[in-house]
Amino acid sequence: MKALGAAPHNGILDWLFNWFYNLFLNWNMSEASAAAWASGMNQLIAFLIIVIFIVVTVLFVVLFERRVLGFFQIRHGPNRVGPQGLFQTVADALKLLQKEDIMPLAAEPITYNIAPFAVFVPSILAFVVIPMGAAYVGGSYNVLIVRDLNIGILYLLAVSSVALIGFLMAGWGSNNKYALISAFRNAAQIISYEVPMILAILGVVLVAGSTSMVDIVHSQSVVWNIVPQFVGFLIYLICGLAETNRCPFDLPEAESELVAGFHTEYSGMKFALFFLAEYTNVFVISAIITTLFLGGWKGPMFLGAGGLWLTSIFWFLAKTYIMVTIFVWLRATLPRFRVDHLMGFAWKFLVPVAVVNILVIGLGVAFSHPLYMGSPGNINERLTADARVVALTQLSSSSIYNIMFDSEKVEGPVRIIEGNGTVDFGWINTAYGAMSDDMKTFFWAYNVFAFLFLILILFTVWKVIRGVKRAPKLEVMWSAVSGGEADAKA
Amino acid sequence: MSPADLIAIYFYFFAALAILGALGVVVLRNIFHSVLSMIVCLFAVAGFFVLLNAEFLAAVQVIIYVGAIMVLIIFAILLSTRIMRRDIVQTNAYVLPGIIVSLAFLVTTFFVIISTRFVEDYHVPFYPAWLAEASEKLDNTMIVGWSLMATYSLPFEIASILLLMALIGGVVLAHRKEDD
Amino acid sequence: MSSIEKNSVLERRIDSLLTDEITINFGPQHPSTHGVLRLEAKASGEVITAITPHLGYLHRGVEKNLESKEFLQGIPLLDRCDYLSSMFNSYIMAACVEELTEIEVPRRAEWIRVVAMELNRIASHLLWWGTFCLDLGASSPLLYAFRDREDVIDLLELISGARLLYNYIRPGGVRGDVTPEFMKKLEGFTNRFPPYIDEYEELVTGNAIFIERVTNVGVISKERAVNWALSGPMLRGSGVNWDLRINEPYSAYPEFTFDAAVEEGCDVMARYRVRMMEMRQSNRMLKQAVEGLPEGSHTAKVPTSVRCKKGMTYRRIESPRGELGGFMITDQDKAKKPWRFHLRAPSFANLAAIEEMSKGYMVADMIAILGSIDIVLGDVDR
Repeated sequence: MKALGAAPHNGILDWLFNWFYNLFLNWNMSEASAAAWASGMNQLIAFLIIVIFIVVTVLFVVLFERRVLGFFQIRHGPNRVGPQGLFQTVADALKLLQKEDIMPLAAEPITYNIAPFAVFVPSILAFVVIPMGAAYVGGSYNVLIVRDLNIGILYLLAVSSVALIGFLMAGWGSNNKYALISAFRNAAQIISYEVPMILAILGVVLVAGSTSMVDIVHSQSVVWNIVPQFVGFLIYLICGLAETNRCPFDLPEAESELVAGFHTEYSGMKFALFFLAEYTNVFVISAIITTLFLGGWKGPMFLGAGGLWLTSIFWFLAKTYIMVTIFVWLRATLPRFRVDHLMGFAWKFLVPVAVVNILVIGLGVAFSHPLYMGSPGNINERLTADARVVALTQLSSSSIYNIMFDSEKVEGPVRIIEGNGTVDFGWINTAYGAMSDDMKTFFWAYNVFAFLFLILILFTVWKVIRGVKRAPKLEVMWSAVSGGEADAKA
Repeated sequence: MSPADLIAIYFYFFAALAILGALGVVVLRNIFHSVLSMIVCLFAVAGFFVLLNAEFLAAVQVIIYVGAIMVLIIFAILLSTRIMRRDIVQTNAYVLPGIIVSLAFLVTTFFVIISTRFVEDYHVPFYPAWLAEASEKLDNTMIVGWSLMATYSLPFEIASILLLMALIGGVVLAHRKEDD
Repeated sequence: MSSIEKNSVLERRIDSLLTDEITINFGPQHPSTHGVLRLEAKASGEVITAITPHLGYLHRGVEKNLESKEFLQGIPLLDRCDYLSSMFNSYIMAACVEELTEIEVPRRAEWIRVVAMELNRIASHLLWWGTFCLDLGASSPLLYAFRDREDVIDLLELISGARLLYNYIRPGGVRGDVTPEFMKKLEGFTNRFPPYIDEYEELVTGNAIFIERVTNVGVISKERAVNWALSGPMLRGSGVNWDLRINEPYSAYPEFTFDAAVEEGCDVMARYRVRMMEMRQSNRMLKQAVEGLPEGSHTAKVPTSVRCKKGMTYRRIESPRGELGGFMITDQDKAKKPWRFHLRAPSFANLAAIEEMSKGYMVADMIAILGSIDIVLGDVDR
């Protein structure tokens, strides 16, 4: 298992695990429960490390953008708070925390208050599948990643589409026309640009033969994807700009048209959440580009391929910040698109180019061109030659009808549920029996912490909803706020 | 507490969420809130998929239903009604037909469930033997890929053509002639 | 594309969207209305169907105030109308008074006035360039424009002591003579400035997104532009060769060689090009002034309290925004104050055409069009 929490086989986490394990043994725990709790503590520490990393990263990215933008715009940027202005964002965040949380009278309280979380949480969740470094220990890579999901890149797409709902909630809940138009623009933009984005990702997945982020990085150990798939890289970069509402695709936040867009009516920490979510997304998209096209944690060949924790993390961060710089550079240079140009660009230009790109890469993969092979010993490890041969012979020897409808091919014991409505999860006990002890402790620790985390989230949501004090609904003020004659009647 | 109980707890959590979400779609008076609770319901279904080791389906569920279809539904709602108005009350004119249809659906589902043969082996339900072998070495996404591209390639292609037809039909319907 | 053809395309664009119209309110506090203008726009989807400008948020009663002030006292007040080109406002008062007092202005004074006004034109156009690009979503040009505007304003500070509201041009000449130091710095600026404009053109004018945003947007034909009484870059952007500095020469302009910037595009891009070219032409004039500034006095002999004879006069000049006219009536001989002073504000006349220019375009285009008019709210409301 490549999870960070399951890394008790090397390095500092191993040491921590032993430390906690001995500590709990000294507290007269049984060995099994001590192992479980030590594993849990490791999980907790890994979780804390990730959270701290995210917070520091986001705070730094904000400052980084402002300073780099200052460089492009022949000015200094913030350089007063702390050395080189390092604590500027902290100061801003502290200021925003103290601000009054204003809710417009005509806003829809529940939607309005949940929206910032619905936008912010997905951008944090994206960090789960981003591999940030790796060490080559004992013949295999230990990857610094929260969880190497086998649907990695699909998970990222799913998470980003959730944030879209948050934008629409913010736009509708604020009861503000600027916010609503902005939310519409945002939704139309993200849906349109997701199409070429997925097509560009497909090229990478074709070469890697997997959707797991770690596998995708491994597939680039010979040559980074940016070389054979430069078109795909450009398409993904453009779509990434659109996805994060960055210039020149910052229509939803076009200040000259829509004031502040969907967060026009937000103040204080809720505004800060939108703000931080945007910068988190910038970092996440840069990290995804790094992972998909720039070889992830791997350094250039002549400098070593990233076999150590420090070098690999360095290379990952260096490439990611180069991408962030490119984002800022574009912001400093380009004016804004118009809505119809934006749509036309996505559908009339990017999509056809992306389809041709897929075609080229597909041909390269089909004819085993060396550039499109991915690295050896990756997909082949999983899908052995035997399985391929079996599959191919089966496919050629039997008609599709037989495979589809021949029920004799169904293996395993079959039984009929008698209709008493019980849900049976017996299989998980079987699977649990097959687990190693390590896996079992991990299983329990994971579930305990997942429950705690769930309770925490529910508690937060409850506090948010409870904390809202509904302003008295005065008909006069209502019509004054909402303006139009149709609203006044309502 | 056995692991199965734990998973059952997850299941009931998602089930409760799904039912609450579905109820919210029907019961809530504000149509935008109905849409939001429908999103909750779809999320819960994605949770079921994860519990069934079908994480690919879960991701697709979220991407397509939450990310695309629900957003389009929100678009349709906000564009077709007077957008800045709050009193988008859902109609109650069809209570009786609604009850009849949903009862009929409930009965049908009930009979379908009690007459279905469920496979106990969780890992390779309904796969041909060769795929069952291969699945020891494949992850979920790969199994889906192999099934679609090898085993069920004909129905997959037919479905693609169907979608393409729908797509072209949509374009033709939406396109207005120049001289209109 | 002819305007009729264009209009039919636009009407079709409005028709093809069968959505509810919504009313969007821009301003009076809005980032892109350049002050306290309020635009009430009706939009079908994102396509503008009607715009009503609501004025008066910055109305300070300048014209009425002038009636109770002596001519010299009126100049600082007039400066505050079009605060981005206050040299021109000062000049209009000075010109009216000179006509009614028959003061002979020395040649050197007229030359200095031209230098001051052209510098002010560059400063005004630079600010316009920065904010216009900001309206289009590009943030850097504003900072670059301010870098060079700083140069210009330093120069104006050298001659007038003020950085925005100069109170420099006055009846009979200018308030103070130019120094050799100023001339040296002016020469340095005229050499520095053309590469800067090249830099701007490289950064913005050639940008594909920018070209897409501004070409064929906000089209107003030659005839309509004349009928709307547009002036300045708005008029010349529609292909009408009408520059008061050439067609109705005043001050020392006949002694300078320069071209009127005219573009045939009738769109936002044409107005943009006109203003960029005007900056180059202004620089050209400044260069001529550096070489050939005549000797003499910087002002005629004018009494402390200027007294006009009875009469009325209308003087008009080419301000950065268009035709700036001053209509002054004095009701008695030896008048200390104007009986009535009316300012024909170019921003006001140009703003009137915004609905015709923006109809059928998108909300984002409306912002670009508003930016291309280059309004100053102090000038619109007075």
